Amino acid sequence: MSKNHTHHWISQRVSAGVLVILGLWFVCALLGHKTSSYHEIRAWIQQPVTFVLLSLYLGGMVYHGLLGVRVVAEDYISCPFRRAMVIWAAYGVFVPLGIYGWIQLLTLYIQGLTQTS
Amino acid sequence: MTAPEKQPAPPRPISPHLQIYRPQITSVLSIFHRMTGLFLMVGIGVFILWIESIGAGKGAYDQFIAHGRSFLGLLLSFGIMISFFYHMGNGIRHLVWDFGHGFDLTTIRRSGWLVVIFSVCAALTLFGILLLD
Repeated sequence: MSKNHTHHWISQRVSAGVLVILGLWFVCALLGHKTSSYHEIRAWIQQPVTFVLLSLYLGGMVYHGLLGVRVVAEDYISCPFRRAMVIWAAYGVFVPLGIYGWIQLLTLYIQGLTQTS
Repeated sequence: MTAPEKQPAPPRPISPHLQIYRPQITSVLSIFHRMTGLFLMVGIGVFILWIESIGAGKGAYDQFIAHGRSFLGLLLSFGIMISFFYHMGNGIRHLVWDFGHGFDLTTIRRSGWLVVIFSVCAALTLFGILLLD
């Protein structure tokens, strides 16, 4: 049940590198918006660049995180059935959660497109 | 399965490990990388709650921020921040190893302490700037 571990190893490192950059960007954005009003933050998210970067960040977090959960489960759970159940549970929670989060982002972006300000 | 049913074997003895092995910068930072990684999955949930609150209007957003500024909210926020910076810093340390550098014990100890100091300082700074005023 090990699949292609090389692919997993590479994916984990690539997603990690992307997340370092996006994570630092996000922290800087939060600092920059420390005194922003709700409307300013909303307008910022509705910008195309922000929408794309936040989407990549959310997707990257979920992807990288699930890869991590997988290795932890593979290391510590010796019963194959339980191990598979834990991994499936993690995917079953975080993939829908991530999709839900992205739909929220998409909704905000589309609302921004149809607003007349 | 064609093999006949067997009684489950009694648990075999194993040598003590966690009880006797002295915690070191190598082992402790390694397990913290895993722990912070798992805890950051909770952070994903908070991130999504933040986005959802923005989509739900000013009232929902203000409520989200108010929850974040409660005692438990501040505790959780700080936990996420320190986990975030630790996992990022130690993650970069891992990436450097993946490129083949920094395996001598001196560099491992120094980079390890650097990651710990960075995590604490960055988390305190971000927490102080964003949540204390």
